[in-house]
Amino acid sequence: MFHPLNQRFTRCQIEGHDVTMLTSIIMDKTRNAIVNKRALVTIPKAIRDRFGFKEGSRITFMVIDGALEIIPCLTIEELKAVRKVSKEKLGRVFDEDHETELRLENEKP
Amino acid sequence: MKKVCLDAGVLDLFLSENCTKQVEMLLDGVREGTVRASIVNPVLSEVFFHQCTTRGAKDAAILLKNLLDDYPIGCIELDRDLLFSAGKIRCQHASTLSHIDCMSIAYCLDSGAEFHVTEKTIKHIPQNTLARLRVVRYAW
Repeated sequence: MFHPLNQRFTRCQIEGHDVTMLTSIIMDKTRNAIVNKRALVTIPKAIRDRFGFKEGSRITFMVIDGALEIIPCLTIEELKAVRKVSKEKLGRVFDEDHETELRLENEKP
Repeated sequence: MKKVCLDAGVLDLFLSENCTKQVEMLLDGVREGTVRASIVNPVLSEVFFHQCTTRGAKDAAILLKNLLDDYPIGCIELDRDLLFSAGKIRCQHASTLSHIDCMSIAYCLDSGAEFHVTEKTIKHIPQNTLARLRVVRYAW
């Protein structure tokens, strides 16, 4: 099932050409789009269908690891449900981080 | 309107799957505009690190972006005076408080904001030494 956190556009080079890949599928012409003079872009139908974009859908543009990502806006509750992390686990990370921070900050140069 | 400054632990708790009711109520207040919440900028980096460790960098980025979009949490850039104050607090409590804790405390003392922390941070704040600091504590 589609979930925005499991999808990504990745830039890479194939035979010396810059290409953008969606998951592992090389983009074909039906997935191309042109930016018009008002900076508007039509999301290709194949992408709209696959990702469930409809009129009124909110999306956000993010640059992650140097790659442009187009991500549907979800609520915090929806996002938290995708990768569940318990407070106990986060608590351990918090404690370890705090201890490491204090140790490093107090190390004599 | 109540003015609060959040510690990384409070946001970590909120982003966990089993967040406590008290933290949920606090963030509901932030979303509804009855509580004015702030974090000092480096806290954002700290929360990102905790989320990155547990969820991965991409999910951490998306989660925090959506959090800041949906909840009007002000990100405070400390000026020179506040940085010096933070350094002084750190100098007095070097073995218990991290630089980021001290930055939040310096901001709270200057602005009069309540410092909202979890029990994990509060145990490091020395009793009576920061008498003017108003601390609200949340169970983890």
